[in-house]
Amino acid sequence: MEKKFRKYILKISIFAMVDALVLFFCIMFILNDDIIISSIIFVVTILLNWLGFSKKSYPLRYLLPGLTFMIAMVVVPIGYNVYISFTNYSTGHIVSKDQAIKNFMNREYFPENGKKYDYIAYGTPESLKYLLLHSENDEDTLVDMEGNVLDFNEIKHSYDDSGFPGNIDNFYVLDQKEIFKNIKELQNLKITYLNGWLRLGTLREFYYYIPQYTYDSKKDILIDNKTEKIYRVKNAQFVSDDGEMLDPGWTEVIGFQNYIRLLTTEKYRKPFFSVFLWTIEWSVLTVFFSFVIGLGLALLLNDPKIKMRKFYRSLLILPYAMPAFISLLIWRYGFYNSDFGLFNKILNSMFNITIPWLNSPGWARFSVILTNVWLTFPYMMLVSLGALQAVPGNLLEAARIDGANGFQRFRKITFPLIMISIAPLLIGSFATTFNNFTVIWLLTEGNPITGIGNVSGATDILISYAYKLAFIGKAGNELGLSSAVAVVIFLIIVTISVLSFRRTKVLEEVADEL
Amino acid sequence: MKRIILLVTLILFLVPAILLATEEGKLIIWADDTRAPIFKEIASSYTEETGIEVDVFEMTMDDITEQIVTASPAGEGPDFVVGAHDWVGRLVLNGSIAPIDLPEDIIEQFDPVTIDAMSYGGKLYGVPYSREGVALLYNKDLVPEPPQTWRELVNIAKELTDTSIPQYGFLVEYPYPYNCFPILSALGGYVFGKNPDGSFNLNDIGLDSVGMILGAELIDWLIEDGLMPEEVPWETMTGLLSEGHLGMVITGPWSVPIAEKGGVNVGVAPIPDICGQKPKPFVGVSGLMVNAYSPNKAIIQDFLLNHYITNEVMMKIFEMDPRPPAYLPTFELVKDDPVMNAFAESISNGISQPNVPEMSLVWNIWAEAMTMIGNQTMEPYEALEEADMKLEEIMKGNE
Repeated sequence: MEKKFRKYILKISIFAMVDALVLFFCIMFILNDDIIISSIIFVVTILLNWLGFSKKSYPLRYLLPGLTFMIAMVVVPIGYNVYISFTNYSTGHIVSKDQAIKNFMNREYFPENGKKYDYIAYGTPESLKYLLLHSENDEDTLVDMEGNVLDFNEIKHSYDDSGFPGNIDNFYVLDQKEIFKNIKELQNLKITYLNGWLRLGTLREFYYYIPQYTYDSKKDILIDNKTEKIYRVKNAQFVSDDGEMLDPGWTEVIGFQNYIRLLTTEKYRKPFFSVFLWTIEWSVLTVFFSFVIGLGLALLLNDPKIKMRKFYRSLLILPYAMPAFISLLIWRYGFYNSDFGLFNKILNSMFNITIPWLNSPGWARFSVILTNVWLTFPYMMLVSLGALQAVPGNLLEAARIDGANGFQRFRKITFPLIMISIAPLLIGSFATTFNNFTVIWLLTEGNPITGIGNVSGATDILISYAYKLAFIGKAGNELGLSSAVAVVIFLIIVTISVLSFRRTKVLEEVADEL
Repeated sequence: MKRIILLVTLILFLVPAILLATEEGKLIIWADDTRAPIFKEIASSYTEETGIEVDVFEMTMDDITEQIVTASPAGEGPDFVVGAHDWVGRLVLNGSIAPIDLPEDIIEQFDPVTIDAMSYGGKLYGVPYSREGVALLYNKDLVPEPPQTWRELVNIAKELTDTSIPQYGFLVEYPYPYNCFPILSALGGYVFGKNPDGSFNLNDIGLDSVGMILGAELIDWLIEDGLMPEEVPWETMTGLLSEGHLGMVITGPWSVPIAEKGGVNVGVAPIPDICGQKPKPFVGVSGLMVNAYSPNKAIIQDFLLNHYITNEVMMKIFEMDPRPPAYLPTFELVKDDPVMNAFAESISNGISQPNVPEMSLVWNIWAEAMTMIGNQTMEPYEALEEADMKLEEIMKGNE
């Protein structure tokens, strides 16, 4: 009983800690106007508490962590990506409309011959009470900390010997350190004056500022107070009638425009299809060759007649075990470099030829596939080795007795049997290669170029093409457009995967017949 | 009983949480890992003077440029970011940074190129502290006297180059337009023309200007004559340099420590004249920029005018980051360092690297043209004219 109670207290305190933390974040988010996030967190926490204390929810306790991670890591990013592809999110269109308007409201200008005021602060070291503003030509002005202008004569004050008002309403003049302590209060002070306001310009002076823009929320227009120009909303930006655009613009949903742009703009569309074809080539060739090599090696290493199998096996796994980030850079700079690379040095000294490994389109495509096959074949070898163990020996034995030769045994028994377990892995490998940004980017960055101003290089696959599209906007990032490409890639991969898995079902049926 | 325990724990955790809430009236600076320590120093002396707190956060450059865009409007941004002038265009476009009002007499104390670099649309968006650019770095053991003219440079290159070692007399990182620009600009090549008000005229693209084509031709001849490979990535250049197999290279102060680590006897000189014309390297500038949404406008102004733009602080920055100061009174005091002075001399002919956001696109297409020239697919005039045409189309808005 005692033990159980202690356990219960522990549980409650852990939950309490988590809840308190969550509550803190909720408050922080509410303070930052993020009510949606705040409420999501709140609801999730209540759900968690219910899970922790209700008996009914017992089975869910084991299911929920997985579900949560799946939603957080798969569903939400995909959803966000799809959402972005329907917006104009790009450089200059990143903030929300409210934030953009806030930015314009924040802008003020210092009029020509604008006034500057020294000030004397009165108060206690803890807080400011009055400011006496002084400029060269004007009379001194007394204000309180709400920004109201007061009549100097109505408030009790006394002068010191030099004729300086050293005391107002029993408050004394503060020195600089004391003023700086209350700098926050002083900074927030805005004294209405003519068309604008006086506010602290530097720490030692008040300046007269006029707000640069007025926003008319009914007409949704912005008026420049200095030039009286009118800016109207056009393409998520304030634009004047003579075409002057104000930055920043804001993000807004623009429907299918990114997709339409992708399909109708020659500059994007033309490379899209050639890049798509090359991506298929690259994936198919990589998977095919690495599988053939991997399976071949696995068959060899599975043969008990070969000595030191373990040694060969560990040696052959090396490319897979080494971090690809390092080996790829070694391939790029150490092997493929046309002047100092190992390959060309050897070829040059032996046959006096130089091959542009990464510099001509054809060779570059060959090189990236070569490297990727080198990176992938150990994986294929490993899975094949595993699958080979599952091939029943008696089947092979029976076949041998029936007079089947080695190739026939492989063709009719071993291969169909291992394909049952390997085919889905091949599809997985295909999907991975299809989107293998790392290999392409670290080896060639999609280069060599195919022409000046072409977005795609000769070795660009869809995903690296999408990445490049994100950064080739006229003025910076085109994240909306790039997300649209990502969505298209996603759809392609889903289609290919679904079709291929249907095919593997057929393979399974073959296996059942055996 | 259980409920009381629950309540007590809850309260215990809530109190410190509320105390953590952010406060106004203090400055926050974002800087990358090399600049953060410098600004921590400067911040602490400001706090001593005024009692106003300054927090310096260390972040990567990419994080700074990305996060300021979204954090500032939400009120979570810094008051200052320390950064390079080529951020300016993009940050202005996103509404992240605000123009800075400085009195005329203070602006005059900065190298005009640096003020130019930090300006966008006729307004100043950053207060510079240092400038940098490329010069001719040479290996004193291979090249005892730096060349005075391009002809001398080519002759030295011919003498020293031996591709079987491999050793090269002269290299420039290729096809990177930033490094090649001194050669491209000497005879009048430029990127963007300027409007009367000093801002860039994006419709006047100078990639196909005669000077640019002639400059590219000069480099192309080096490649055709086998004096330079068709591609010189950073790895190749630094490798040759530190092994002592590179006579001269156009590069910046960042390569000096790499060469010295390899035991190379490093000298720095201005890039030699081409046909009597001075090469004009791009000048890069570092400085402070101000968050457009900051509530601390007055403190910011005070920090800039009464603390940052002073000889003591600029000197402190130079001591920790020895690049030519942008603030001329400080530069006068530190002129005696020969390496730094040579770089300063080289960039005194320089022009500010355009800070318009369109520049990233220009870099790409320009580098593609240089690649086509290098691998001998196209002649310089063909490649640069095509690049120019493509850019003009994009600037006009036809995709």
